Amino acid sequence: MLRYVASRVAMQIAVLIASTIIIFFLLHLAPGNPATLLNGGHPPSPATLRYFNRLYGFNRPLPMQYLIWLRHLVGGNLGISVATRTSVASVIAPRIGLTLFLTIFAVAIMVVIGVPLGVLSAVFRSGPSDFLASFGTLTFTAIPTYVTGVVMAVVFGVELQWFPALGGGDTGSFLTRLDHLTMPAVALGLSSLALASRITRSAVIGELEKPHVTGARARGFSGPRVVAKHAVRGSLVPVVTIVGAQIGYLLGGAVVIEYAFGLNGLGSLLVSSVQGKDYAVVQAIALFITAEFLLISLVVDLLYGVIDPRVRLVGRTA
Amino acid sequence: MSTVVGDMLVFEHETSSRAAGGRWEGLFQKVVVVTSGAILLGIVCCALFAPWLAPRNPNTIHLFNPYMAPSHGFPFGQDSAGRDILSRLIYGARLSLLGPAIVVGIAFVAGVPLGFLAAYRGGWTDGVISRVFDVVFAFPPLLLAVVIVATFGASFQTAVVAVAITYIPLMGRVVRSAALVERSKPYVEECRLQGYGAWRVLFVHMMPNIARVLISQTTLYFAYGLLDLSALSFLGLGAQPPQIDWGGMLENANQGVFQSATGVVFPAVAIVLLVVSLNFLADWALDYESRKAGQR
Repeated sequence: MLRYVASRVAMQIAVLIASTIIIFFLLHLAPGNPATLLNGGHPPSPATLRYFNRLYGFNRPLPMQYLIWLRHLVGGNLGISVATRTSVASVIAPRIGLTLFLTIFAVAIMVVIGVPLGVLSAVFRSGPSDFLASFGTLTFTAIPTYVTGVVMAVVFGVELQWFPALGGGDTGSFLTRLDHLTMPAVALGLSSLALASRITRSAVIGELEKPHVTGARARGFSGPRVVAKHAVRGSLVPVVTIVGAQIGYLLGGAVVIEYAFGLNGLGSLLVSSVQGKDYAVVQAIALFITAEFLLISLVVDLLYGVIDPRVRLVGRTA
Repeated sequence: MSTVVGDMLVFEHETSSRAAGGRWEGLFQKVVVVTSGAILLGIVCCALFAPWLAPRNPNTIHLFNPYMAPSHGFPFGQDSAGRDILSRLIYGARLSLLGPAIVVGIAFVAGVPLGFLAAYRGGWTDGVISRVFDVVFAFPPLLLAVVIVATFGASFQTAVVAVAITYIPLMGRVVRSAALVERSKPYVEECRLQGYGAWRVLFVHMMPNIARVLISQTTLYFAYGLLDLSALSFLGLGAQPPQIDWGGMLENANQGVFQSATGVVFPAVAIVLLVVSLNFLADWALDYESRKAGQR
């Protein structure tokens, strides 16, 4: 197991480094020179240029620049936001909470509702309800978050006024925040929920037909016990895969949802920074979300090892 | 965006035990497929014949009538600048179809040979190609596209290329895994013994056998490409005015959602209808062979 953990951690660190290289070099692929891009599209004054040269080493060779940039990054120095003239870290930090709250909320909705729904529809499958379940989930997976978000804001926020239509309840207590973020989180998680339940359903169905489940039944175990301990356990690998992949999707989707609902999170900041050409902020947020995603992929990989002992042996010479 | 979805749907398809009987289910599925095809055809016609179908100029501004509800002269109402929503919807079909078409085209032209090569050559070729794919997969979907747009400036072209870049490895991976299965079959060995070159074996002999998966995936990626491009437009990072696409229309309507909620409905319905139809068609394409086999 230790060997498996080490190999997965090493792999994700390598991918993380590769992604920092991409984000770094995109700056140099941009039309014009990087100092202008970092200065909000305007040619920098000599003083600003000196500052950039000190921070990024633009007068040095490219590989050196990358190393300098990486060293600053590791030290938490993400550059200066052109829009606010303060450090990027200070612009980003206050917004992380909302985005994490929103994403975790949406993931919780997906897992707590979607997975049991899939198990139930696998157990109680028969005739037309089977096809309807598949029709319904295929339809819901096709509805994008921004459509769900906009429609929900109109119906539940404006017409029925059940939930606040705008804002994230930034200053309020946990409950205020929950109230404000319920609608965005549902909008964000709905299509993932449908997909998670669809995959869970077919995985559990596949498992229910396997001999070991029939064997458990033959030994006289009760229905619920067979489902919970034998069928669900065996179907966990695809379920964890889809949940992990959907968390990545939710991280990207949160950008759109925050924008749609006017929430002050990382995503809406990313969008306004792209629109306002605040490139240092864009870089930092992209890196942050990518690191988050890689961390989750790592957790998923490690979960495979926990769920399925065979996985731990992969790559080991017999 | 929901690109991993495609792979998982294929997985789901292969693992789920399909109830192959049921007259009503068969009929229902037929109705769904025919309806989906009709919707797709209708939208394509809107795109092709927009100048003849649209009742008004989609960009004519009526500043004194913003966010008007549907009326006799404007059947779907008017947007923030008083423009005719119906005409914009019809003209919007053009970029909303063209964008994903180019995305899928680029992904196909680059992804299919890469995936083939990785599967056929194996070894370090496979290693290099797969690792490069892994790096693109390291970014959450949509995020990489947003960063690319940030770098090169927001426009329809940038958005299309940015989304296409994220679809190349997806296509490549699907082709790679399908080709890996084929490669182990005897006929490929036979072709190699005959001394055929790699490209001939790949495109002449293996291609027909994975065409079903390819068509289904391409259809799905078209749908997801539309979703991603609409998302970028919704964020103001895709097509710029006076260009019209449904994502941009949704954004425009969302800005005035407190004045008029009806404007939101039409572009939203258009996007969802098209994506749902494509999903069902992709599902049907994947099913085609097994259905044919079942009839025999």
